[in-house]
Amino acid sequence: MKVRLFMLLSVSMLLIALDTHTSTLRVFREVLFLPVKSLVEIAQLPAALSDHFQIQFEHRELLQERNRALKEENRILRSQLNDLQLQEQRSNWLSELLGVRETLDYAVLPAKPSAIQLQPLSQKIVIDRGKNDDIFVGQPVVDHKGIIGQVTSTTRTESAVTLVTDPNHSIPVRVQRNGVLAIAHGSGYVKRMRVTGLRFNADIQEGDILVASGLAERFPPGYPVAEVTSVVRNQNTAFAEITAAPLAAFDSEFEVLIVRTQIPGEGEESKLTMHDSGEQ
Amino acid sequence: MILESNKHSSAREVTVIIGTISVAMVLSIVELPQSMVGFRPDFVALILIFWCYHRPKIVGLTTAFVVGLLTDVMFFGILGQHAFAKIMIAYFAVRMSKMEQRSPQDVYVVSVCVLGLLLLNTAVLRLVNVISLGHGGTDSLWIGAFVGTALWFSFAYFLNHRERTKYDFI
Repeated sequence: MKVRLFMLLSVSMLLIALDTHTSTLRVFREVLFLPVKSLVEIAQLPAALSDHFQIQFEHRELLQERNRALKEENRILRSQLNDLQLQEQRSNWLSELLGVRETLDYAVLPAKPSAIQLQPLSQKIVIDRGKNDDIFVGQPVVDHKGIIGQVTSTTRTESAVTLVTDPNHSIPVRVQRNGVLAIAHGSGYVKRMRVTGLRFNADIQEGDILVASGLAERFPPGYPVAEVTSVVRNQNTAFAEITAAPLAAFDSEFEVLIVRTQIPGEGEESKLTMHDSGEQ
Repeated sequence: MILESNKHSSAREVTVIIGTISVAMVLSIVELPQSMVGFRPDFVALILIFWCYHRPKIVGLTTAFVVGLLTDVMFFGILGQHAFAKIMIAYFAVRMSKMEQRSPQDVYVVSVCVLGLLLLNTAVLRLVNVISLGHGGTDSLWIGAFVGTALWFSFAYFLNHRERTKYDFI
């Protein structure tokens, strides 16, 4: 037995030495692995099974958790998207306004509406510019589509703008197509203006654009005001009944432009220009 | 034949021995929770001691050598280190069995001997590791020897009290 002990121990030591220093036993090892392969597979079963059951148990909870997280993420993304859309609209709006600044011959100052009052007897908006910004009564206010109205009262920090649709407001206009002069009155309705001063046979038709004539020396000449929506020619009356829809967007939350058409003094003009460039 | 043939050994015994050794090998590589890994005894060494002690005519040095080699392959360790350790403990286990035949030993004494064998097993494995790789593995290997002895003791004690028939359950 001792002989066998030493023989086997020697063989083991030889194997250890061979395996440590050479790779000659690789094939031997592969052959020996065949009988234990199934044992290794059996040994891996419990871990695989427990993994499986753990996944089953955790599945529901995991799904609920993920669902919650996704809902929250969705909510955040939605609000971000809304913000983004608003910013995009604003950006478009501002770039349009920028175009107006470049085409108008007058100094302009951007202002933001802080309140909008659209009622039948009084159509006004309040903007966040006042006497501190050299705003004075009578200054026209426009957006990139058309004339909004004019400043009718100012405080230090805010101004009230009477819209062209205010029933007490009138603006001298001409037909852009042929220069026929008329006066556009507010009606108290947001989408409607009355146009008077034209005889029943005057050359005016639906779709004509009415622009400021500049006769009042208050509004920038040639700036769009409204589009004619209906012309009723009644031979019993001398004048045609014409209605028009204002082009400017009164109910926008975005910036409008205050135009300086009159020049109270050279000093103030330069001051306004400075403000103007400061807004860029 | 791995198992030394003997006219006393029946096919049933051989089957049971191979089965228990296979189970021990599976137990020694089955995945355990990380906190329990350090306490895992060397099941293969335990079962070899058991069979060398109780069936020395069937399970001996050759069986230990082959089982050790298979264990090495299974662990992807150095080929021969388990073989070396298992041969040594098998030798001493067979010697113990011869002493047992001369005069029956107390279960406590046997357990202490088993502890010695398991510690020897661990020592040899670590020594081979140190010599060939330069490091001896983790210290938790020693804990396994004590856990294995505890298993052995409880098993032997339980059998001793249940039937006084000297493990004739096969």
